[in-house]
Amino acid sequence: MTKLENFTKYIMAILTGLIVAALYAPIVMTIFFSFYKSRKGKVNWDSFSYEPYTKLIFEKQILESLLNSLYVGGVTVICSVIIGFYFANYYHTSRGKMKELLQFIIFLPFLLPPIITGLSLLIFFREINLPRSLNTVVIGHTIFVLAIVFKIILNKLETLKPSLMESAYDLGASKIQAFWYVLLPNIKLSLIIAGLLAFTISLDETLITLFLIGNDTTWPIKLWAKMRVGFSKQVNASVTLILILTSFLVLLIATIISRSEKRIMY
Amino acid sequence: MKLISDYFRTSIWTVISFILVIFLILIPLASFLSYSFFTVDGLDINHEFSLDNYKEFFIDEIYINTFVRTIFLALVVMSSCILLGYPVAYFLARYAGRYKYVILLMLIIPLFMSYIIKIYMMRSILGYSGLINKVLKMMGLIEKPLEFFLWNQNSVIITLVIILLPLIIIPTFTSLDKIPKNIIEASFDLGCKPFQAFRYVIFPIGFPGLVVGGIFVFILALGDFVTPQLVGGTSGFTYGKIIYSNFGMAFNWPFGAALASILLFVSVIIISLTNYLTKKLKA
Amino acid sequence: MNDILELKNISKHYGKTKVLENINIKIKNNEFFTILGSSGSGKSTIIRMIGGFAKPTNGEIIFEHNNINEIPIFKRPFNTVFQDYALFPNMNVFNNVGFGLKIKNINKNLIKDKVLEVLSIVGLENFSNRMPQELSGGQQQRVALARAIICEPKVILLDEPLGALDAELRKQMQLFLKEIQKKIKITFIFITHDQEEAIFLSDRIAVLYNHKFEQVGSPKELYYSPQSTYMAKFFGECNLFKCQVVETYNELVTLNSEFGKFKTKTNKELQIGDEVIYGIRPEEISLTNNENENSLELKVKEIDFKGSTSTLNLLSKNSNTNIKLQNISSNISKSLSENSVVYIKFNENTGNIFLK
Repeated sequence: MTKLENFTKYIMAILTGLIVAALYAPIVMTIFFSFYKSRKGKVNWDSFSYEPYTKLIFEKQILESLLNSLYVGGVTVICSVIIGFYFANYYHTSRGKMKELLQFIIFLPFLLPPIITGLSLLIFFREINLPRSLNTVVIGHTIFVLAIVFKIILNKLETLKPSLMESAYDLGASKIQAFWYVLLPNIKLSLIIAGLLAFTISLDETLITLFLIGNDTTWPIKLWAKMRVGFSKQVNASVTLILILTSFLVLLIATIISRSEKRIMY
Repeated sequence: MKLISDYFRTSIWTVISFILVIFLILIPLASFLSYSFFTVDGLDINHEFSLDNYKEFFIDEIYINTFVRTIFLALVVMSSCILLGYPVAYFLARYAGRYKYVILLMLIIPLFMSYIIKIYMMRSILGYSGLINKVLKMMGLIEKPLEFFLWNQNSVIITLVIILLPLIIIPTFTSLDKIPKNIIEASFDLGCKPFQAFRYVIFPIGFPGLVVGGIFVFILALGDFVTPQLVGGTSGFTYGKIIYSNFGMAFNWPFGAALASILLFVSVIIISLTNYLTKKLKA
Repeated sequence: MNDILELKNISKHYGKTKVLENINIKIKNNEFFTILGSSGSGKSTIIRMIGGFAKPTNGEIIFEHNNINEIPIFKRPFNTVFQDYALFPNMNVFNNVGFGLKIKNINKNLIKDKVLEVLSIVGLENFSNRMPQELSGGQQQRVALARAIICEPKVILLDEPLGALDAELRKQMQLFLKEIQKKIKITFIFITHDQEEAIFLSDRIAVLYNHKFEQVGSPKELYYSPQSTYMAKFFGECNLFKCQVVETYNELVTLNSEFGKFKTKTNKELQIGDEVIYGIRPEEISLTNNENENSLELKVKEIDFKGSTSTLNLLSKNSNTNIKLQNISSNISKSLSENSVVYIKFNENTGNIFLK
């Protein structure tokens, strides 16, 4: 390695460190201010307390928005994984040009700016007189994450040998049996990964939700509303808890992926 | 007989699946496009075809100006993300050894962490009495806190870069990481100095990943309306914010739809253009 | 022929694992030199050190009388053909082949002429515009070779280049490599784990075993004069058994074995009473019609019919040690059956004696 190469290597290492720091700065500050008080930009170092976390139980609005988010996330996972699996299977098994068109359409909401997806659904729901609610949010989230779910499951399906299902049929399995005993166990992990990812995205989705939410609020919308008045420490505490949950989910996904990759290798 | 019933079943499912995407994706898109040709009549929508909304866009300078400014802003965000993200992706793929996936994961996690909170906290970092000003003051670089960072375009750009950076690092890293080691060795073997190996081999092979990330960042920056709302102040408003305001306070859905249609049109052109160019570059 | 490249006392350790220990070879100009070893024996490491991709822990790499240990890869006048070709996926065949020249800022027209010339040497004139992904394995192999040839290196290093090809194609490519090496007159250092391939291609072979070279020599030398029992068994089959020296007369010795006494030639200094191992290839043993001074009496254990010839497995009369004969005319072997008594004779000139 030449000197110049070594030099650039160190510069890049420092840059990487700075960027990691910059990405975590807002998060670390949130966690910090859930424990400490500050006034006019000065931190009061004696004010450590975890009271906000216990007080959170009495913040009905925040808790309700959290529950709403969990509900939306959960239903989004179920819908997107079922539809995503169906589309992936259809794409994988059928021939012809229709499937390319289908894939293109599924990817539209993912590729276009979220504002477009949000307001086109808003207008559509108004035209068909569907009142806005958590369920319209679920629809919005489902079509937004569908492309990712579809792609993850499709990638897995494409690694399976065609003989897998054929041998199941050959041994006398019905379509449902072949699906349940052969296909499902083989793609189980990709379904879990896709579902976890869909949940994580849904939990934090803001741009589409803003258009589709009715009188209820999800957690990011609650934050958006609270921002005008400034965050209480309880809000910071709820943010910290959600951050722990999402980090856990992402780490879980990463662990599952690296485990399953190792299994393929050996 | 079985074949026919099988075929029939498959085709029913096919029909259902197409109905699903048509109803959930295509018809909403179409209804939003058609709204852009309607007008508003008090609190009612007048369902008659008119080009008024588009006329207004082209007549009133403020819309075109904001649109051009927002495109420019999105370009600045994208280039900053590339300038900061590429070296990081390169470092991870080539030098970080067995830690590369750990660091990558560290870079991915913030992507899933509350969007609103990140923007909110950027306020206390960038603000008049924020973290950056304090640090600069402590280092003796400035006497009075700078107002450069908050409530203007700069704060929108900085915040969007912080939020969107992982989106450029991930695909760039993936495409750089996939380059087999012996291809790089082959370039040295054929006489490349380190920079030449980068220029002729590593960069071109990793380029598609950079393009994917770049488009994502550009499109998301172009359509964002929450960030300018929260950190942009009065001078930092963007096209996305104008669109959103037409669906809120202003209640002029058809006009908002027209503005969004223009955004959609430009996004589609940009996506297909880059798609076309990368394909052409490959050939 | 002059030596072009020399490895002097080369050792390579990865941490505590020893890969190579005290490697010494001199490679001659314009020869087809093969390093033969099983997978994991460290043969790739040798080529990677020559190419500059790895540094030796100890020792010197000497090229035309200069130590090149510290010369970076891109300044060494060697080019490598990689195991899986390592063609640049972003360039078509033409640009892949012309890459080495482009880097040296050579005139474009000149590059074009050279590329077309080299492509015609490897038989790919019409593939200029193809992308590597659109080529078959054999074609990719040719591009990789063309890409190395065009730089006019002093040495071409080939790291098991035929490993990924199927048997048929492999044969074709062997022939192709051999012809091309004769045509362009560049030293080839070739790596393989395939004995037949090594014998077919090489001017000289170095066999890597146990971190060092067991023997270096022409294919014939390695086959007919193995220097160890490992080498004797390495190419083809060899009957090896214990003997005791009972008589020496100039270069003729008489050995006593379980099969009886026999004479053979050797250039080794032996004392009466020495315990040695005698090795002889199955095709160097012949059947004789009757008992005579130098023949041994054995009984048939197994007859393996192979068409016009047969393979015989014979058993010593007193013990269970057996010996193998090859290329016995089936005309003769058909008169034999299990347990029938036969007389055999070793070829005096081709047996080898290994000291214990």
